[in-house]
Amino acid sequence: MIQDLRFKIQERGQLLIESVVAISILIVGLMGIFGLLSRSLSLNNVVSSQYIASNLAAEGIEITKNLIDANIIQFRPWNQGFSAGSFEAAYDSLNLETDGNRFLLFDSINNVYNYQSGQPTFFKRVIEIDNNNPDEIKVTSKVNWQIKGGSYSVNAEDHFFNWRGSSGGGSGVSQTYVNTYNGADQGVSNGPLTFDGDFSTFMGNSGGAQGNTSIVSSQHTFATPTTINSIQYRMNAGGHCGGNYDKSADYNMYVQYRVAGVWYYLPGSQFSGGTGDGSVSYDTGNITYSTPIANVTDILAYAYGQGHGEDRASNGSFANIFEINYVAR
Amino acid sequence: MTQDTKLKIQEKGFTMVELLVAMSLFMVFVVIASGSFVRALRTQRAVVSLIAANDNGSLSIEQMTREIRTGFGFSLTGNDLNFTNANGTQITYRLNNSTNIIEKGEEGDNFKPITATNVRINKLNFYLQGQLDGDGYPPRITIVINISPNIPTIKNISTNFQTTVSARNLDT
Repeated sequence: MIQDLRFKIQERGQLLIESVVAISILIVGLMGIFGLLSRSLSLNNVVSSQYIASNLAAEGIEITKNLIDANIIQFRPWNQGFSAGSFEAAYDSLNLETDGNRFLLFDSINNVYNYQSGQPTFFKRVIEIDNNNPDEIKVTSKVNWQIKGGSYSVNAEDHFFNWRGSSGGGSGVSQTYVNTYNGADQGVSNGPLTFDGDFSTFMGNSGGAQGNTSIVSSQHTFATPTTINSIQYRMNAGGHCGGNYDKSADYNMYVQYRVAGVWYYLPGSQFSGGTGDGSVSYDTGNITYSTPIANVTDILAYAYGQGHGEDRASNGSFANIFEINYVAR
Repeated sequence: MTQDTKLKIQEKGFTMVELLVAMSLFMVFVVIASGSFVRALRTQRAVVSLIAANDNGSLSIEQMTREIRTGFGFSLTGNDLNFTNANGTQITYRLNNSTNIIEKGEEGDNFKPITATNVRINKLNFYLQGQLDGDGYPPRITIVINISPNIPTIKNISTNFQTTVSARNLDT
């Protein structure tokens, strides 16, 4: 400490006053510096909660992505369950719930942020969905919190697109639908097959009450060779005949894929049979084949049913494709 | 203490009282100042280690999520996460309970730390969902870290980081 004090004889006690003033000025200055340090400690608290919040916001985005991919895996429309609005989801949620403006809880036993158990934290997370465009979902994951009188928020935004090619609402894998039949009755076409994983919907058939052959096939051609993760299908076909001569009936169904110009049967997808007398039919049931196949250019499903009898009035046949779906990687 | 004072001849020197007052004032000031400095140093150390804890937590989460996002074949052994990364290497992330450091192992061996020694990982939990074929969901991995600075005085200040990753490699 350097004191540069000049005082005159007449002014006794000046030293004391001056030093008191000098010291208090110094103290005020130092207090400012120390205040800064302790403020940095409390600011660290804010920084730390911002780190937590950004990770929680990222979690909201990832949960949404997980649910979109679950739609793909389960052969549903890619954006099923994503309506516009504000939602909540915990780390283990299997669907988005309407936003209840709840605080996230931290369960210190299981060590996890959730909505079920634990102590309330000061974080609230809301996942906002905007789906104006059927081929796009805009997700905004917002984490808001208040500490020490300040309110903070972290917003994460992501846009997910329907790049796998199936569009919302369950229609849209462009299918070439062929419906041929051989007889007097009309075959029924229910239009293009849809990508919805809903086996209960009747997709397309061909039938001939007086004819003897029903064929239905559905082919999808990819714009570029594609890796197929899984294929799901259900078909049925059969025939019936009466009369006096040949009474046989038979069916034949299969799924094929084409790689480099060559058609291959999808393993386990060939079904055929027949009988010498009466009727025959077969339903494949719901089948999912889930071994990845690379460089697929086309997928084809084919179903055929026939009654051979010569008495056309008592012959019948049918062929249906209920579903042919695929998941491209 | 240096005093640059100019005295005149008539003044023989300080009185005892003057000296006492000046010295005690000085002492008081020095005590206050040095105490504050010591406190400031401690605060500074705490701030630096808290920042280190935040940085380590967020960095290790970032590293794990990036690798998990492109990985496949997830499984848990106890609290350790095993999967195959995009390079086809078998990866294990685990908490070393004796050093309190997160470690990454390749092919079940060669464990190396991914967090620093100046932070303490108290807990590391992985939650796994949808990792089985046929469950209808892509793998979803939740990572939770409880981290605190490795300084005895502020060991009890801990932060819980949590994030979730959805693997981009779809199973069924």
